[in-house]
Amino acid sequence: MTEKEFKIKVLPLSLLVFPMAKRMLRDEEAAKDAVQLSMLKLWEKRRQLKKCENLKAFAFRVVRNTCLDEIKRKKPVSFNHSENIISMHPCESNSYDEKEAVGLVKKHIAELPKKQLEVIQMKDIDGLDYPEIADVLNTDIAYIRVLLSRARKTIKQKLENDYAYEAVRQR
Amino acid sequence: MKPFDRDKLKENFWAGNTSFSDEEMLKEIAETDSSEAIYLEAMQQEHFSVKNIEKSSWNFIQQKRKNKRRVRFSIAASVAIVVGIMGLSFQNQRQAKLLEQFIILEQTLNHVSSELTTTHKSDVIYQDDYIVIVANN
Repeated sequence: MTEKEFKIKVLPLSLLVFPMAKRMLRDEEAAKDAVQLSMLKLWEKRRQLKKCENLKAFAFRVVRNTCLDEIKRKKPVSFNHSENIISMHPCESNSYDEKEAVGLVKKHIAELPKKQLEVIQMKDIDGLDYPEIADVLNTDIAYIRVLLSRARKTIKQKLENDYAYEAVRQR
Repeated sequence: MKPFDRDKLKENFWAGNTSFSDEEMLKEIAETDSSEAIYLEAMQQEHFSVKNIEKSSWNFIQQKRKNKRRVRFSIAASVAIVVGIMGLSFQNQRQAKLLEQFIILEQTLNHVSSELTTTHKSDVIYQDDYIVIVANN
């Protein structure tokens, strides 16, 4: 892969992978460093990238591994997906009810088991499709489908419970 | 879209069986206070970007490339210096050896020459101020 090809095909992926790095590291500067380091790794592997079938998934995998290495290096801070999803981004919805509802969704997402949470974030935030998520997590597509289905169903169930509770409360 | 299709789409969405285009459609048709709309809104809020990450990543790569080049150049220069010093030292050693051999040869030749030119006293038969008679055997 030439420098020009790298700039066109690989470098723009840094925008896509950044949210995942930030979620994992819970720090913007650390996330930036991780993305930069991952891009350097990709640059050093640029000769092999031509053979790569899915560059996007490969880039996500490299960034995820870099973040996991960084987390291992700073061991005292454990990797917990659930803490960041609410705290990092306050609700931007207009009405109070909507804000509250969005906040509830975020809370329920944060309470999901680690694997389901990772899949749901990759699918619904990072915009990866099933084969790409399977590639990043090095697992099969059917398992990813199951995890996403379970995660969404859990959230739906919890939301329904919230609405039922709210309806009873208002009566 | 028919209500049946809409319900089916929602059902598929929660089951995780929707494509990106299905979800885009769902975003458009879902009522604002529906669970689907709120869920999609929550996820939308998590999707953020950062300024200049592309540029900073490229600058980082360039910086590392420069550093790498510098290190390579330093190594090459060090190797060249070491080889040069070794070459010079070898040359000096060779010259010293040659000089030593030359001196030995010179001394040997001087000795031979002096041996050939000097005459032994026992060979002199007669000698005065004007004449020397030497036996030449």
